[in-house]
This record gives sequence, structure tokens and C-alpha cells, in this order.
Amino acid sequence: MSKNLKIKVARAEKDWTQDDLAKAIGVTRQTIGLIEAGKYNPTIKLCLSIAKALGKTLDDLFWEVKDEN
Amino acid sequence: MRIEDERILTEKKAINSKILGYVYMALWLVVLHRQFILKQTLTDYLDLFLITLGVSMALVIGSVKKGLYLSYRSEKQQKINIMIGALVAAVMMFSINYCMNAEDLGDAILSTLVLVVCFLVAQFAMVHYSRKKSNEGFDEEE
Repeated sequence: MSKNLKIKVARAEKDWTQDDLAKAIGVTRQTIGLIEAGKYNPTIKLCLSIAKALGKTLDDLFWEVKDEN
Repeated sequence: MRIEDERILTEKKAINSKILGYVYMALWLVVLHRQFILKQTLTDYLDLFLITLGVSMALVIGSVKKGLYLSYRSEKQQKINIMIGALVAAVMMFSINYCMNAEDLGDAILSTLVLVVCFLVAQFAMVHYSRKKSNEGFDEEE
């Protein structure tokens, strides 16, 4: 699983730390860190919570576009 | 929307499940050790046997109630699994009664047959109930 930089960017847009996002959706900071690091595969329920909290869609945060080159 | 930290819950469940697996195996090993190595009678280790039996039944009943008892396999595979289980149970029962306890051949065969019939009835009933449970809660495809 690759790193999820999209969540990191979306957080930065809102000027949120991992802890802020974690508190907003009721998980631990470590869980957010592991998702961003690509070391934890969240359920759709958690994905939706993250997307709602950051004001993004699932596609914005989790859709992976393969490099065609 | 406030949610529980699913990662922590999942990891805790995985740890608990792993430990339960080890304890369960250990319980069976201790029971078999007492019966066949130490040659103790059932009354000598009845407490341990009842705990092991209780855990086994809880695992099976839990699985059946959730609709997971063999229901994910094809019907052919279910039958093969049940038949293999019945065969193993029959061989074990016959070996213990006839070879180890030196029971009369007729009695040993009879008790083995009774076991096999009970085993098959119980297994098919559990699979039937489990399959029914696994199809509950959603519309089946036409």
C-alpha cells in the first residue's frame, strides 16, 4: 500500500494536524499517521468520516490513479 | 459523527483471537495428555474437560449463529468436510472402544454407528441452520 499524501495535503489546506483530524473523527493520532503512511487500510466507514471531516470526497482522498508511463 | 478507533479494536480482536487459538489448542493437548499418556479417568480431569468442551461448543455455536459454519463453502465441499469429520470420529471412537478399552466387537461397532449417526445429524442440522442465517438480512438475487 502506498503513502496517502492526499490526506496530508487536505489536512494542510485546513491547517489541521494529525491530532486535530483524529479528534474530529474520534480515532487516535496513530491511526491517522498509519493511514497516511500507507500502513493501515481503513474501512469505508472511517474513510467516509475522514472525507467528511476534511470536506472532500472519497475520490479526492482515496482514489489512486496509476501512472501510465 | 463519533466513531470508535477501528484499528485499535481490530488489532485487539486479532490478539485476543490468536491467544484464544493457542489456549484452545493447549486445552485439547492437556486433555489428550491426561487421557492417553497419564491414563487418568475422565473424573480425574472433569473440570478441564468441561472447560474444553464448553469452549469448543461456544466456538461452534457462535459460528453457526453468525451463519459462518461451513456456509461459505460449496455444498459439495460441505458434504466432503462433514464426511471426513464423521470418518475421523468413527475411527477414533472405534479405536478407543475396541483397541484401547477392549470392548466387545459388536458393542464397539454399535457405539461407533450411533456416534456417526448423531455426528451426521448434528452436522447437517448446523450447516442447514448456518446457511439459513447467512442468507438473512438481505434480498436474494433472482
